[in-house]
Amino acid sequence: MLKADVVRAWITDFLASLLHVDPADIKGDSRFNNIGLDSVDAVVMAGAMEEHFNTEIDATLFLRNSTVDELLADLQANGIIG
Amino acid sequence: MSDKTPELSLIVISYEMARELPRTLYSLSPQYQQGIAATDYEVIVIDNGSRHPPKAEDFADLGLNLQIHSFPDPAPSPVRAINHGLSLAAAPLVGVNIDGARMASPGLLDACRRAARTDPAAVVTTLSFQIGPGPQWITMQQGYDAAWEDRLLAGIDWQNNGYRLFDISPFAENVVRGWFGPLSESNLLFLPRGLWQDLGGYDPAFESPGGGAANADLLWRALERPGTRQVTVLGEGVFHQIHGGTHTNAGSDSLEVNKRAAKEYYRLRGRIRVVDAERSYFGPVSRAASETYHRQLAAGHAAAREDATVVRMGPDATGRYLDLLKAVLLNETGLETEVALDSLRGAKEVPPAFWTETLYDVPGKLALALDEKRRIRARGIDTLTANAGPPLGYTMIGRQRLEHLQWCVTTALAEGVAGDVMECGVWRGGASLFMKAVLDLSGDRERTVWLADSFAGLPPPSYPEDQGMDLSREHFPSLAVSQQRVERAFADFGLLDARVRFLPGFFADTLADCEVGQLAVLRLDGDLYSSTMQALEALYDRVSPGGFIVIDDYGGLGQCAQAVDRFRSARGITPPITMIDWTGAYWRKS
Ligand SMILES: C[S@@+](CC[C@H](N)C(=O)[O-])C[C@H]1O[C@@H](n2cnc3c(N)ncnc32)[C@H](O)[C@@H]1O
Repeated sequence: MLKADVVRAWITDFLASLLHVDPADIKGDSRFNNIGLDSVDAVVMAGAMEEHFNTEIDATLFLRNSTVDELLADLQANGIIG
Repeated sequence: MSDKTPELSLIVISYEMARELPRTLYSLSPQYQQGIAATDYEVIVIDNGSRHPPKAEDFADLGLNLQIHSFPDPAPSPVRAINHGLSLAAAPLVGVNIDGARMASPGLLDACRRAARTDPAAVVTTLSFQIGPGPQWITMQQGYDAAWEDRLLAGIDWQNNGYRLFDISPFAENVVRGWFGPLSESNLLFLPRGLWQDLGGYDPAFESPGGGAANADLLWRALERPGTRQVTVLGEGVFHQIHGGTHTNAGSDSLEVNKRAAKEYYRLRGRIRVVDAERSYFGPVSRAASETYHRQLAAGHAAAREDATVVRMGPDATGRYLDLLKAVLLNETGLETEVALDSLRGAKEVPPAFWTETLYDVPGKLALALDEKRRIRARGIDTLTANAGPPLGYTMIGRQRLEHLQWCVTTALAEGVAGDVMECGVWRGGASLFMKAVLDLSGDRERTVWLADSFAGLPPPSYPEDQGMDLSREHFPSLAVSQQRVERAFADFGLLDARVRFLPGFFADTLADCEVGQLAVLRLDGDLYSSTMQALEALYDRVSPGGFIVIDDYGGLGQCAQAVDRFRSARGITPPITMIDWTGAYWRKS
């Protein structure tokens, strides 16, 4: 099982790079749509994360959450991270 | 065709596109493309393994310098077929249209050619739109199909005015990043021949069906190459026709398909970063393009007007009153609040900062969403938008249809078309209120405004044509608005008098024997097959010669269009249907 803090750090870096924002601006409770993430990007993040962590993640999981914290909680509830 | 070396070569990839390719090639032909001569360019179609590949002789009458080749070694990914096409291109400027289902606007080729001249290493990119009410991967799950699209295309006479493609294609693929944001890909792009060689064409490592992220990769590699410059063409575009495509038309599999494409890209490149360097913009390029395109670009932003700044003796109070009324009925003046509220949708609780900051947009983060909302409201596509409900105004028909309604009523008055005006399906009454205001302003004291509605929402589906379309109050409570509230709205605007008449109840019970006499304008907005058919059957014969029949949902709802088409053919009605925007349509009785 993946470690929550590793995944959090990866997501933060990924979003910062994808969206050209400062990683410090991506907080656990920042709403995705306020930092410029749309549904297409969310699915792109799902694909990259699958590849990076060599795992399978349902894309809808990325669409139904609107902050990093919510996403991590959902990944946890689905047994993807510990 | 000619010995002259063309200035432009365009590679078009086709795969099982018997319906779409003829339109695409017509849109690239010299009889449609403006400002460019037949000898200036060549089009090279590479067919990537269709069972019945297209043949050049079928397109002989287009006057196009055209080659069609069948790629000998087809694969699910078009990448190798594209590279084969690139090897055949003769011109110094070479373009790729990765998806032969994408039609072009009339000034596209000339605009790309001129854009390329602005920089020796120009990466010329274009904007992509999807035909139909919304993103096709969503609308196709709601019944949007080839027949529906054919109807939309037939209603705009695109062969003679291709810019009207913008009218039936409200969904712009790059709109989420903003018009001036970076592009994730360009479905039709031109690069100088030498740059194609430096890049080695598309990367065959992208093996996903449809090429996956190969197109994004090509664009980003081109832009990251030192010395290149992105030049995005404005005022023109490419328009995606629905087909069995692997990406745009994967329907409910679309999430998975996009996820796999991103995965492949990440595997090959080790990161994902949209390239966002400085860009130039080129255009708008023609009057027609700028007019139509401007509507979509700037939709909802009232253009600064001369008479707003110049002191004039008698300001046109009538025009200003109607403008203000339209803005209020559409709630264009309240969009900031709507956007702030949208940011809460789906949230499990209201964060305290909402009341102190978000609602007033103190952080200044809602500007993009507000722009988006303006465009949405202008075209009346609120109800198609995933993260929002119907507008908080008095009408959901959008500015374009409201302006058109004004034209219908004023034209009927000016030409003396006899009769009242009527709307079947009024919701909160905005469109009817507006007709009443236009009538009153004209000084008319004779004509009645008729409002037919259940004032309790839509009936549940009962006709086979409406199966699966349950928009009744139980599922869509926001569509059920009481007569009292609509009357109240008329009173609030000072427009309630004896010439505003209500026909409460379901159309099946109220319309056939109603008191309505002659009609000059009949506006149908009942969504369903049944509602549309019942209204046409009960009321069409009461429309005067020269009268207007406006169908709000002709483009947006297949079953509504079916009712209209059946009724028209049963009655032998010949005046053509004209699209008002992506969904509204009308004709005049002869
Ligand atoms: C899309 S809304 C109309 C929007 C409105 N014209 C505007 O300007 O925003 C549809 C309306 O049609 C009414 N309606 C649809 N079918 C009906 C029927 N068969 N009988 C009565 N009312 C109906 C609904 O109650 C609802 O108010």
